[in-house]
Amino acid sequence: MASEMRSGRPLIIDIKGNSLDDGPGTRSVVFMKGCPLNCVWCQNPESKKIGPELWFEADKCVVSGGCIPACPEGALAADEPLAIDRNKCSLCFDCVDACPSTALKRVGQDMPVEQVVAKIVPYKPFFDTTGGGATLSGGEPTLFMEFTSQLLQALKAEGIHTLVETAGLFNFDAFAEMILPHTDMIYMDMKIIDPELHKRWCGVDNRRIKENFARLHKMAGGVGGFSIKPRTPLIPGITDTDEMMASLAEFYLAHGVKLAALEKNNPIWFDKSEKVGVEPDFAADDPARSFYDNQRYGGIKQFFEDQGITILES
Amino acid sequence: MQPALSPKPAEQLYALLSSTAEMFNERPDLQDEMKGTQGWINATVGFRAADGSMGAAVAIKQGSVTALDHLPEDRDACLVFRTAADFNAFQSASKDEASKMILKGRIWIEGTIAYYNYAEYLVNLLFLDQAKSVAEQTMHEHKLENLRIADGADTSGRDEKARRKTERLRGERVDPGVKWLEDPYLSEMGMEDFPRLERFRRELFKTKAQVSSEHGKLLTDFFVANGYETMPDGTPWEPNLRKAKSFYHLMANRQALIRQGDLLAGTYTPYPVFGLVNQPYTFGWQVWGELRTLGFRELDSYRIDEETIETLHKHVMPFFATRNIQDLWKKQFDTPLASQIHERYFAVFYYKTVSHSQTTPGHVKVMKLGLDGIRGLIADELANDPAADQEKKDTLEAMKISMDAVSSYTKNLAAQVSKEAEAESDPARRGELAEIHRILCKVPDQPAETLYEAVQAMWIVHVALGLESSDDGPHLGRLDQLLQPYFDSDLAKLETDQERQAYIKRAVELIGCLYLRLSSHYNITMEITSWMNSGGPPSTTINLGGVAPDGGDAVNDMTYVILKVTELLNLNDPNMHARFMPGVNSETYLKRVCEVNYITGATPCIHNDAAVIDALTGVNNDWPLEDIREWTAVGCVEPCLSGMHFPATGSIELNLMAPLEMALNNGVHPLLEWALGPQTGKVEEGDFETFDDFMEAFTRQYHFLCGVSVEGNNQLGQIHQQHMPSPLISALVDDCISKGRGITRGGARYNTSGVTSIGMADVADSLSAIKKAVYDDKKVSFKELKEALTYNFEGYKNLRAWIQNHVPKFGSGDPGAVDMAQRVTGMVADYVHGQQNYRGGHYTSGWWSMNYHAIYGRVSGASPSGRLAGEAFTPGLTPQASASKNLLDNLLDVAKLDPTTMDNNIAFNVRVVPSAKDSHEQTITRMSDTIRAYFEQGGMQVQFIMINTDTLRDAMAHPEYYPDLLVRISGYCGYFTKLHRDLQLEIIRRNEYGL
Repeated sequence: MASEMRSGRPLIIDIKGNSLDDGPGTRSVVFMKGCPLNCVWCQNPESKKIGPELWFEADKCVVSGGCIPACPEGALAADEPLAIDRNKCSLCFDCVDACPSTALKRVGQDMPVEQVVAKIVPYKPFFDTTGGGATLSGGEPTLFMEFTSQLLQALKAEGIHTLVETAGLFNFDAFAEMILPHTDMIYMDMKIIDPELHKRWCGVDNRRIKENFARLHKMAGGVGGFSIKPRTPLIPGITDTDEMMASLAEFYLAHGVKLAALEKNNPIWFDKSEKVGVEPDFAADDPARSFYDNQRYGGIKQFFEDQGITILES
Repeated sequence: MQPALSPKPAEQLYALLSSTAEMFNERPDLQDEMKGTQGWINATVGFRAADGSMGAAVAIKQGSVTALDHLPEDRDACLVFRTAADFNAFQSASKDEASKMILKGRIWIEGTIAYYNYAEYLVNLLFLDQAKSVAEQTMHEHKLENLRIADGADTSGRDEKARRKTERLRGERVDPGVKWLEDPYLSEMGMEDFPRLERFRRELFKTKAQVSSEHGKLLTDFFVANGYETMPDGTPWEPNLRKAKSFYHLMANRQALIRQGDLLAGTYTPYPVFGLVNQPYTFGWQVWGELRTLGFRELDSYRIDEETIETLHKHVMPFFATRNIQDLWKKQFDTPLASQIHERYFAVFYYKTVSHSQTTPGHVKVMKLGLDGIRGLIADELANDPAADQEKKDTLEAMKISMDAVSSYTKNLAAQVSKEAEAESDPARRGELAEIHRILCKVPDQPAETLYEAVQAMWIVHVALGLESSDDGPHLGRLDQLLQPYFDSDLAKLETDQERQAYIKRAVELIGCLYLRLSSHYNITMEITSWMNSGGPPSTTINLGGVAPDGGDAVNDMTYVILKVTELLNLNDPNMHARFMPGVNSETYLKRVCEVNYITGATPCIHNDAAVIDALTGVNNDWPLEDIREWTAVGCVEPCLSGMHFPATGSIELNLMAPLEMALNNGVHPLLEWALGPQTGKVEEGDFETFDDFMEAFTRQYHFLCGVSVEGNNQLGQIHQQHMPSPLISALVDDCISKGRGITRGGARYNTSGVTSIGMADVADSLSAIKKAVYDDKKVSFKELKEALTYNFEGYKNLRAWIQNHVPKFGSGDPGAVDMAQRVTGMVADYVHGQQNYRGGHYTSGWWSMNYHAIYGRVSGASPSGRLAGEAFTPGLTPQASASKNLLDNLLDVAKLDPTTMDNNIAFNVRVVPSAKDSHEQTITRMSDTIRAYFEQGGMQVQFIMINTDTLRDAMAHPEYYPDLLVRISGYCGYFTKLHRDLQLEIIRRNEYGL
């Protein structure tokens, strides 16, 4: 079962040095590969699978022709610029070595904790002045409790503020023991409250997610402790319907949540899907392919604020 | 092939010249154009191809034009085409294309260039309509291209500036030097509170600058009457006295004006709103050929009336054709290699052909002592030094005459103001004029006692300094430090809060008037210069904040008053500089600097006081710290110790890619096909066994080029000593009086000359590419890489892609790339610091580019880093846009460079766009926090352009919506819509970082 901890270390998709959207201040974000959920709108389609993937960026391709003969499986063919038969691809990445332009890339690098920390530490002066730090994201960092725990400890040892972004599907006791003591902030997704719909759109049951959130929310806010912020992605017609918003508000009120974030749909990820060879499950005219309607956002925000829940645009 | 073809172009050329000559001789009405106030304007101008395939000339003599089928030995000037094909191309070229040909070394001019310009002036008389329609056609084509570029761009930038102004922050009174401002940010004040400033600003933006001949005319009058080389009695002129007496004639006879409604009397030109100065002895002579096309050219087009054209053409230009710095240099030193390099644009530009190249005179002396006080110092000096040599006596005498010139002008101003006061019907204005009259009867002769008196004295002296030498950067220095004592004592005399509030508002208005005076004039430039420097104002710098000589916090009330004016007026001139000393200056101050930068989009630029002071102390360990702490940014960004230093900071602007290209080609510059450098080895023959061998070749080529440059600059220094000694500036710079020597003769306490190296990031990345691709990874042979450059990477796309994606660049955070940059900056600084100037000082090393990064990019071939031929370099030492998507990598890499290799400062340009989610305050806080961290890591300087790409694209096609869209080019600010398209595109290509 995917929600169980992985003892090995995750592949790292990317370390983004200067993120403005993943917590307070200037932050570096570590994206780990692999997620137990399978949300149809996932912004980082390359983060779903645990294993490495082949990434192809057509814009960068200079049609060197080097990759086609380099492929032992014959999975590549010239096609303005390149066709990849992903069924044939054995993920040997010989083509990546042959590509001069880095249009072909391996997504998912094996990096020990020290190496990840070394990439982040240089930015510490900026974390310090801006009140920023490191954010562990994914994929799902709690899928790799041991690695995440070690990484958090190493970052804390450098005096770096830590934030964990999670979908909330984890073993609570392990989280409480391995993650919480080294985490300053948690951003937890509350994507959909209704269990059926959650299963339909995200592929898993959400009972444990809600329980985990409720428990963490209760524990948060103590002196020197951690803080937690729930976040909901607004995907048109999927997560942002009036009923969904009503049930979310009800859930927050029931648990005494006064502060929550809403994330406007950002259609940029559709480009990413193509690069890892995944066909997004949305029609060409689906509203999810557009930037979020600001008027709708304002209305939703008002709806929550009328009930005493402050909304942050995350 | 060539010889067989040669008769034909030669015949064509002669036929063309003959028919042109005939056209002239058929138009007796044009004969008058060949007659000047000093007699017939005669010149012989040759035309030849460098390959020997053609040569002919026109002789303009006694009012007739004759074509000659040969090149006379005694020709005054000669237009040289690289080949006959270039002659053909030139004939059908638009101005735009002709400029490109000049920059690419296809055409150049030998001899006295002014005489070629004279011929061009005459030809323009025949073909003016044609020139106009070609210019219109070019502009139309550019407009269409611009519309394509702007297609689909978001247009919300049209309202952005207004929006940013609406959410001004309030500041806390925390700085120890702030005594009077409850809210130092003056957030309550808006433009609507200053109708006078609003009107002046509106008029400035809608006025097309008008060319004035006043300056050149009065000097010519003087010299025609009194001789230039010798006095009427035949004795040679002493340079200081010639300068001073001609300057006196100028100041005493020029129009003394006050703009209607202005608080400050005195103007640069007879056109108080916006005029152009023409200083014929520096570069004013260059526009001779273009006097009739200035009005309709694409870049920097001006108004010019018929009388001005006639005065300049018939009176001024003929006189200064051979009496300008450039021609005097070439004649006296027999057209040295340095001048040949200078005139072909590809590698070195000498700013001494334009001006002294930057200094901050001691305005404090005028304010505190008055000119009378300085006269007293001179008298004391002469009394105490009976052994004074003749040069000292002449120099001090010249200082006195020059100060008398200022007094004479001030007296005329007072008379004019008095006349206007009498005629004034509005009692309020009459009161203002009476006060101005009172002030003019006092300063600058006597010390200033009020803020108003100090500013008026400074303005008059500033005008005088600019007209004495070259209207290019006598800078105002640390304006907040200069003015705070007066602001303070004025306020101390006021009793009620209401009076004090009114005074503070008045102070903002007064400084606003000073700004609008500063921006009321440009220098007239020829079209090719506009190509290089379009939108570049004279750009007087003003410095704020930092530390006082004792190391304490220098931020004061006036710092914030001046910042408020900067925010309100949003002008490209003055060029604003904020010094910030970490640990001393407050967060409140830094945040305000950031807010003004955010609102204006591009100014002030921000310096790390600690790093600049480290750089200066590191290189000059015998300079006392308290003097170093008085540094001011001049020109673009360069340090000058205010009132005691002649740093000539822009003396040499050197294309760092030229020695690299010469190293790749065994001393030959590939674009010019000119074998000028030493033979350092052939890439094709495997002469470079290791990367260090190649680095050695690059170093030798650099030493050669910089060596020639230093020699050329030192020659020009001698020309300045003889022809531009500037006694007035000298009177205001320590220790010129006690030494009895002007600034050009080493009179200043500190004497340096500045070099700036252009293209650093491109050169460092190119060296990294050679090292990795050829030597470390052996991806390609050096020979093949060189072939790829020769073919501009055509047919080598895989190699180019590999280099661009596998060789880490400076600014990426890769330690190897930073090491390479350090190697380059270290190599340059080591050499430069070892060179001596003509005033007993050394050279300094800087890394800013004005807009030479676009020009030198255009004349440079493809680079090993993957840069294509003709593409602009990055500005200053800014990393490549592709180095990293992460702004922090850029900041950290720049901060790692050793400050002692950058003692002439750096220009590090970053285009940032705040997150749409952030509030005004969050944006400002994020900016100031980021800058603080960068400075704590050792970063020396940074300047933010806070405008997004869509806005810039929209502005290219729709300039009418963006009259004041301010951008930093490298060190100076320009209005985006007035820039050359190459520069506009370069700014658009700069990375747009999130913040």
